[in-house]
Amino acid sequence: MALLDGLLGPLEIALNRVLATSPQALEVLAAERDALQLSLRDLNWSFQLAPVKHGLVLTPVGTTPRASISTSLVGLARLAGGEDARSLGAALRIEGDAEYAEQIFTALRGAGVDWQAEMASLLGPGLLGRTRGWLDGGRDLLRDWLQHNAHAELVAAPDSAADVSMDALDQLAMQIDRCEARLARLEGQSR
Amino acid sequence: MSKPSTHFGYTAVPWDDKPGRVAAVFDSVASRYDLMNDLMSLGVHRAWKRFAVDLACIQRNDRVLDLAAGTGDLAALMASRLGERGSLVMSDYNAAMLGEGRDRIIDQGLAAQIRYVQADAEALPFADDSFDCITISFGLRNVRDKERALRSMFRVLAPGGRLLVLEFSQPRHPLLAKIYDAYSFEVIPRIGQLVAQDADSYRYLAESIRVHPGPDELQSMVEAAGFERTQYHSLTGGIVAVHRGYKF
Repeated sequence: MALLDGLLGPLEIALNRVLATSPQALEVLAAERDALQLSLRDLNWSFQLAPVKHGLVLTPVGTTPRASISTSLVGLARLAGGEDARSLGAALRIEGDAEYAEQIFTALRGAGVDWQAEMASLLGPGLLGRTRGWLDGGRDLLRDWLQHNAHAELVAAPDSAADVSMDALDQLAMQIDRCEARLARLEGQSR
Repeated sequence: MSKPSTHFGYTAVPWDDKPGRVAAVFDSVASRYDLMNDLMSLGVHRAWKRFAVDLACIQRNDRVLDLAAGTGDLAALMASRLGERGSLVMSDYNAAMLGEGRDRIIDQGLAAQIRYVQADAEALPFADDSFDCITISFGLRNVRDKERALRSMFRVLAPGGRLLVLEFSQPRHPLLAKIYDAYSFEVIPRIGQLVAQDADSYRYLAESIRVHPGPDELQSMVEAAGFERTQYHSLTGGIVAVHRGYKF
């Protein structure tokens, strides 16, 4: 999915910044070269992680990986958080060299980083916050455009089309509100 | 056998003429180079360079070679991430640009780790496996024989090392491409005339971008030079791309 592949660069940079604080993890990764494929079912997104001397390289799906992991975002967070792969049951599917996949994840867990918190900050409130920013910007832009057209009487904007757009934005805003409330609840439960 | 002609912007020129012509362009713009970059890109070139350096993932002990180093802005970013045992060589074909870069590096207090080498990227004067990371930012399109330059970079890169090429590319959206064309050919030469009293050099800049290989072709060239795990990241709608390849 090309749109999400655009996130690979920033994601890799963030990941390697965290890994740079763990020479042990870097040492384990530096000894390996083969790609591990990660498929996030809920995002319908697959990419590959390959170890290099200074951390991990994230690339779109390309070469044949040594192992493939297919899971959800929650499954990934649980795996990264230290849960045993077997306890995830059907939520996790590993194909290929499962031992290799486990070795890479063990190295990442060994970095002594709270991956769940890191992922939550990247994919949770951070992403929601950015989406809300875009949404507010889009709303303002649409409102300004409608007002401009109404005042200048340049183009009679069809009311129904404008209403549909505004409704869609309102629906999205409601979904974001729900996600934020759910995150807050989950955060409360984990304390 | 006679040498083929090559391109200097849209103009076909004899093979041996291109380096001299490119050198004349940069002799002319060296003193206003950074100001022009800020004006032309509205400051976005700094974000592109920061992204490239972030992707390079510079380690404290790395030996870094910055080709087409120009006024040294990429080198300064990388030098600040090196430790005492790390080192960086700034290299450029053009003495005027390298001189500007050296002065700026000294002004920023980063000179201790940096050496300066005037060199041709097609025939790098370094031993095999000398560097952990090589960068070339907005320089490859000015190189006459890009394949040869990439092979030369591969030779001096140590196993496990990476190459990063930041270069103009091709906007992906047709509308953006049209706006970009109009901006490149109508606005940029005028800014060049106003600020650097040199419209021709900036017309060459726009033309040289158009004749530069697209991202997929450049990736193939990087692979053909021997690099592995190659990929590129398109930035700002494809106006520029950061290419990366590893030597294993």
